[in-house]
Amino acid sequence: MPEKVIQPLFHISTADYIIIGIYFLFVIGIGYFLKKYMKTSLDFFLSGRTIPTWVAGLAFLSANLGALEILGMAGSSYKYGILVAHFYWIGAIPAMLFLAVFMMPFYYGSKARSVPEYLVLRYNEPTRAVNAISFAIMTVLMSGISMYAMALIFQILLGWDLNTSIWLSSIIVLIYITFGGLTSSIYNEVLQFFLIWLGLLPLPFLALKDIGGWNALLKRIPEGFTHLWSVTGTANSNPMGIEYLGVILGLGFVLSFGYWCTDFLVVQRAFSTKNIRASQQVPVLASFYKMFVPILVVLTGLLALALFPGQLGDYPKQPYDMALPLLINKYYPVGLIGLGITALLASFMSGMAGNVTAFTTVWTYDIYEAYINKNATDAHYLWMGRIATVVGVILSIGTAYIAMQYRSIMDFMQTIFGFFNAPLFATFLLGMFWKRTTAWGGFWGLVSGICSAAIMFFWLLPDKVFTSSMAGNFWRAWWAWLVCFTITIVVSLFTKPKTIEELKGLVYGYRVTDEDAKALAWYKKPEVWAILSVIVLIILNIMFW
Amino acid sequence: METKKAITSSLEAKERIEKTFAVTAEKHDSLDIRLPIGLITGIYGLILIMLGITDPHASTVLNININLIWGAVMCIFAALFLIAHKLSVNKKT
Repeated sequence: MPEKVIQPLFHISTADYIIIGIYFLFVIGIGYFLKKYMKTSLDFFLSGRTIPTWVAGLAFLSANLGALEILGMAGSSYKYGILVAHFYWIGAIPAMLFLAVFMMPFYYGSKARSVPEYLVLRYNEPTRAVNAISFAIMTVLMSGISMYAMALIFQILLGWDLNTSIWLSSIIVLIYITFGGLTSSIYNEVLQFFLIWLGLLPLPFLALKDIGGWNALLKRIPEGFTHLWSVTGTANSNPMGIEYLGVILGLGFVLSFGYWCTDFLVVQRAFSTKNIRASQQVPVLASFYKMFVPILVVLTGLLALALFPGQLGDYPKQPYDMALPLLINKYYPVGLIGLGITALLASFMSGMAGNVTAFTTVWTYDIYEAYINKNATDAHYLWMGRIATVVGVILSIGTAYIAMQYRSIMDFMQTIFGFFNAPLFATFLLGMFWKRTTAWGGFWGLVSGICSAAIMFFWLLPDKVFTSSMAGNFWRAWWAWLVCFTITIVVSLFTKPKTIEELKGLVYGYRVTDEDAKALAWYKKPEVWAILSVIVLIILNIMFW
Repeated sequence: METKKAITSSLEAKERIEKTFAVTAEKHDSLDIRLPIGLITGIYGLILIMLGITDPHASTVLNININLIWGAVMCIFAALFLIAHKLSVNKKT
């Protein structure tokens, strides 16, 4: 660790600290007021299935919109241009809508309390174990890694000590989730959503006004930086080094579906609503919010490129992640800067809270209840949830300190986590839409998919085969998905299928009838809103073709 | 033998889920989130307005009193949320 004192980028004053302090008071206060509603384990882990749709929808999106992502994506836009919008549009919205329209009825209808629990209902205990254990480990480690990365950023921006950042944010997150469980986590995600928009939206306005408008901006950045598709004919014709087929198959299909449709961290938000229709509406609603996120990240990245060309890059230049902070520093006065920092802090802390709540749910229902203590009372599991919260936070802190010591191992671990996500989507797809998929078909498909991802990364298709490591990720994800898909089908054909009784409510064709949904007016149907979302998505893609 | 074991584990899981849902039969209200959102954005809006009035030339690059303008925007936003909260409270009682 460099011991030398670095001059912080921002100069913040008392007013800014007051704004940050008010935020801390509010999040702890919300947790405190929610405590009395946490009577059963279902209240704690799934908010008693009482969260209003619009709240769950905002949380669904915010759980994924961490501070690191905002800074990182703004930096990527500085580096790659508008191509980064693919991560928001093709790389998220189709998957979110698929989850809403096709998968949510089975997730919610099965009454599974977590994503791994759907796997035990549909497949068998070993399949659940693979997913539950890998998810629990990855979630805690990721939470620690991002905590360290965030502490580093606060050190650069504000001159805060790494230890202070880590302990302060952990303790506040710990207090509010131990009080209010998932509800606390969701409420803080919604609060974060508004703080992010209110805290960062003045930035593109001010910078655009300074630069002289949209057309003046286009003149100051390279031509290829403002097109989504017309530059993706070959891998060499665009800054990202990836062609359209890689974008569609790898990012648009496997990676985004693998994440949005199977990652419990986001799906848990939809589980917290009151019925199937509401749970379907959650990702649809989130898809509309998601379309506008590029205003905050891609547009600011492009503005930073126009205003500070050549200033960011590989060492010894400032890192790309500094694109957004440089703009804040240039345009925000005292007060607004405090609000901007609060927005980043809020999005970081709620990201951590989301990780910890997902971890505690999977730990309690899918590991503790499933394998360690099967027949305890509900009150015991609620207690266990609170203990797991404390343990989850402590493990995250520990990981943050390990990350501090061994920086390169951490980047490597993130790649390894990627092995688990891509094949999982094939397991869910076949599980939900093909009755014939058998328990062991699912298990061996998933295991071989994970192994094939690892084999490709280390031996068959390492990064150096591709024009960029991003292209490598996209293509390996696609092949790992295909391996899982094929092996699941082959093994299923040779093993005994599950009975209709077991598959009820879990598979397409044996869907539980949703009485509430039948009487719905057309404009209240999630499918109608999903189609509207697709239309807007297509228009956006044509606009920036 | 293998498939038989799988059946029991799925059914066992189903039983445990039913147990959890049986405990949480009654649905209850929770804190209305519009209240804290309205309060915090309102407080922030007022702080920004105050800063905008006391130091109108804080922003050096552009000649815009962004604290004052954005403070006002946040206050309007806060008012909408607090009104929505008030309406929902009135509806219940």
